[in-house]
Amino acid sequence: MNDPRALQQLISRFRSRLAFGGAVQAALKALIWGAVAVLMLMLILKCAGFSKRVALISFAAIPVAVLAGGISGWRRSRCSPYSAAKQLDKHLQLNDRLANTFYFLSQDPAKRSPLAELAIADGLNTARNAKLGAFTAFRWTRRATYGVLASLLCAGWIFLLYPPSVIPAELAVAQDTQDEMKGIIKGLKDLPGVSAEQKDEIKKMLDTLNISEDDMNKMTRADLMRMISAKGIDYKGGTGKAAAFEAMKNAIGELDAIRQQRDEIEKKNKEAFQIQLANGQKITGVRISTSAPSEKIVCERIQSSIGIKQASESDELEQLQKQTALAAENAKTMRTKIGLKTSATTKVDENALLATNEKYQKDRDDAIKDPNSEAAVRVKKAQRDIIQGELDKGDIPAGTAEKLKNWMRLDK
Amino acid sequence: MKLLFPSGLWLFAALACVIVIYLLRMPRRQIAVADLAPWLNLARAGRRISNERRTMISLALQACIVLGLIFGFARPYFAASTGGHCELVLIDLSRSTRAHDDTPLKVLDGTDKPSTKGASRLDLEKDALRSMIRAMNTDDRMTIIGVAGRPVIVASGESEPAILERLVSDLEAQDESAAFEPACQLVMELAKSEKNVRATVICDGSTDSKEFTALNALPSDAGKIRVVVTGKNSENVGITGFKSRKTFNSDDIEVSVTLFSSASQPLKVPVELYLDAKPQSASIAEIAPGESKTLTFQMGYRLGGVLRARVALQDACLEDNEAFDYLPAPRRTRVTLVTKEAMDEKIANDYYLAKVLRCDTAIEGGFLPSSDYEKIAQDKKALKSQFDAVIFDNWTPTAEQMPPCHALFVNAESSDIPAAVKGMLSDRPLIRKWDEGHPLMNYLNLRDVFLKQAKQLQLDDKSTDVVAELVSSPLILAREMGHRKLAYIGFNPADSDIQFKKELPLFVLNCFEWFKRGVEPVTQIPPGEPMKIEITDSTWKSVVVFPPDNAAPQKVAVPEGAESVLFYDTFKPGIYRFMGDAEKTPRLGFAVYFGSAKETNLNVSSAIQIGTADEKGHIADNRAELTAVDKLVEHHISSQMWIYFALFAAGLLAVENYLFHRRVFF
Repeated sequence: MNDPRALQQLISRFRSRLAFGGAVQAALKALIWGAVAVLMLMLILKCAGFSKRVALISFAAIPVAVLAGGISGWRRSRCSPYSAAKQLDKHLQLNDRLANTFYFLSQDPAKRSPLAELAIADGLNTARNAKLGAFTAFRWTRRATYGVLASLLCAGWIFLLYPPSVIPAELAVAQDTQDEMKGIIKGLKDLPGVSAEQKDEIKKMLDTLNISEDDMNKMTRADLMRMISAKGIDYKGGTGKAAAFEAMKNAIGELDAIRQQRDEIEKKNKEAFQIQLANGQKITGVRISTSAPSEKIVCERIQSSIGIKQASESDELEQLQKQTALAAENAKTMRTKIGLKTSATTKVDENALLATNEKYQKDRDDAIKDPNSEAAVRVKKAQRDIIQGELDKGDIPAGTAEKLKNWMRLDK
Repeated sequence: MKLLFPSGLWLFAALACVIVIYLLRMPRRQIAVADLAPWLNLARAGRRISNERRTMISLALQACIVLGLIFGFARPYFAASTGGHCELVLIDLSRSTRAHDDTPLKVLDGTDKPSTKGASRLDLEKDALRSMIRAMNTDDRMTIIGVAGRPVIVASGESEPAILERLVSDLEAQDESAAFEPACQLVMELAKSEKNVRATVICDGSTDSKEFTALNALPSDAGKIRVVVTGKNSENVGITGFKSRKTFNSDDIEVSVTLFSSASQPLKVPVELYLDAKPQSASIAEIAPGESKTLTFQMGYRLGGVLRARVALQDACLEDNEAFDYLPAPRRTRVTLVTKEAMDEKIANDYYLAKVLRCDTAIEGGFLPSSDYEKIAQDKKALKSQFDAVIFDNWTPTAEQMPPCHALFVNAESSDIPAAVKGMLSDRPLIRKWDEGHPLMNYLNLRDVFLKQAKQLQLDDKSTDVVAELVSSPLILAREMGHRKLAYIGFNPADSDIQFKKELPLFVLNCFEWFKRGVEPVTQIPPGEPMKIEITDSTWKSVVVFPPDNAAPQKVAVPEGAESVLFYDTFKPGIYRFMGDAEKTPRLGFAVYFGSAKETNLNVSSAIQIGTADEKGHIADNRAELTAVDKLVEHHISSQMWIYFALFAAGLLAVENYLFHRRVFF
């Protein structure tokens, strides 16, 4: 009947609620100090020239302050069971019945007076029926409001001190360009016919470049180009493939221009070729569709800057190259003989003619007769390989080379 | 309304003093008394002076206040010399005076904006000149000559300091180099008619002593020539040259950027190239102190727009960190291929000559059969306006139907190419010779070209060039007729393996390059130079020019039949756009750009020397006297005496206020 556990449980629950509430309240009170510390720290870090990333660390002051406040609040709100019983009496308006019970219970049962026994019985009965309800020792204070507001202010403060760098669209690296560059870099890794030495070179180059997508988004195009250029200069000390860096840098600038030019050309290609005469008559011809430039141009330039050559298509190439060299040698000898070495014009001697190979001669004659024949395909392949070889030498300017490549693609 | 002394508005501060004094005496002192009468008696008894005397003292004080103000306004001074001076002042207004010498050098990243620190060299020059003006005696007169590309008289014999100060405030640095030599000659001319002349040169110090030689002829009674230098050695890197040009025989643009560094140590300078605000390329130039360096950027000529080079640095002079050029939009040549037979769209586009046209983005191709061409040829206006170049493939129109433009005749004769066909060489004729130096033969090697047959031609006309020839006959001919350029091939490429070789596309593309070749349009001029604007449309009655920075557009009338007009107001650097009065938006433009190593070099030269040089070039008697700004003021205290009068008046006002307006509230 006189089981004191009900009272002890009630006091214990009340104590824990007191401790929790006190901790929360103190934590909220400490919030303002945390916020003030953040504001000060950020200002100091900004003045000291630290980056935004470092300044963000100062936000740790808020949880630290809250934690410290909470701990101190928890410690401060700890009280003895008797004191808790007194507070509980006050809260439940029990006129110290619980506190007295707790006190009497602590006495030796043998020495208790009947009055004390009665008080204990009454107290324990009250404790059993007592309901703490939604009691909490926590109350929202004005200081807590200020603390929350100051914490929000900190978020604004960081934007004020470190305004987000918004890169205008025309200066940013366009997503299309980023994707294209990624494709080109991936393509470099997987190119067929690349020697092991070239693969090592490409790997080394890409390792040197190593610009993350995140970095690309934060940089202007000019910054990115500058960075590639700087890395190219550093790389120069290596194996002398800095031209590839230059090609990559130029690619970033050119990709947008290619896209814009392609749109303009494709729009024009769709227009009818029509001429209106003074009498109102319209003469309609055929629009010759210009081959619109593609991103492939940029990719090819990067490949050629690394020294990757297109695989030859023709079986007759080797034979043709030998004949070309022989013919050139013969022509040179003949020119020297007739004293034309320094002449502005070039003369060819009959003996120096190419195409002594009978198979090629036959193919050539058949190709002229029927430009769509199989022979014509073989001749075209051989000629494409020769042209590619000449383009690889780099004597023909890039713009003209681009047109020749277009022509070869159309003639396939 | 304008203010002669705008700085006089500072005197509004005096109003604050009045208000403060008034407010100070506003609350009446409250003294609690039992009865007023004894206190009133006591107050009356306590007066040491009578009411009459009191009024007289107040009057005297107020008269003194007025006198103080009058004297102050009259600006009294004690003259240090007798007789008025004629001050002849040369002030440097060149580009280098825009420099802020205290600005720290910094590389700019991303969207960083440069800023300046301290006063500009011109501001310091103006301060020096203002000091001189404030120190002028009443009978002194001052002539100020602004020195930029041309000397300009800013003030002529002016004695009113307020007017001089206002003129000095309006001085602005020009985007030009300072030409001190003609300015010194002007000083000499002005000095001839004046007495008691004194010459002063105010410059930033980046000038050569030789430019002041003419000042040595000033009469000896003019004394020393005062030289005030406002600049000091500062870190600066700038663009001194910027030009774009189309690469020869290519569709690329080559952009050269020349830099100069007056920094004290070697620098790695980021240089960026923009087309219409979009970055095209960037590089890092390593440049030593006092050195010039040229960077070359190569870019495809795909689009036109404003080309801008930028040195991404914060340095003393920000104005030379940017340079402009105008890149006209690439114009696609309208080429029409004309054959005897009609072709549908697919066949026409797969035709071997059409494929050559298709591969060049600078060509806008079209195809017409001969029948349609003949219809167009009846309309001379259409014939003139619709074609830039025509390829006649195995067919030519009559002489009357010839287009007044460039033409390539493929195995088809025309009266424009005066070559007579004598027959056919059908036994695999050999190409014997070709002119490697001719523009049609760029990158061509005809040695391996195989011909099944070719025409045997006879050429008697010397105005026609033989570009390639067979053993017994010319094969490829070229001719220029006024503005027209014509090329002729004496064989059918379809009867040759040239159609499979690079020689065919290269030859045809060379033809169009040759057709296009001409004088490059002027796209960039220095400030102040007149710009010749070509009238590309005969219907234009006027040309509207839009100056930089959204300034008001200017109209230039086009006289009847004029092929070009001149636009003179090109003093402001930047991009000028123009259009015909019938157009809605400007399509064309030009850049005004100033770059000069002399103006970018902000290092101050050693002491300026003016005098007669001996045989070794030494000047024994240097007439130039380096003068500090504070030494320009010869009677500084007396000239500022009005302030003391004003302060005296203000003090008296306060005393009078205290003595006679103190109120006691009972």
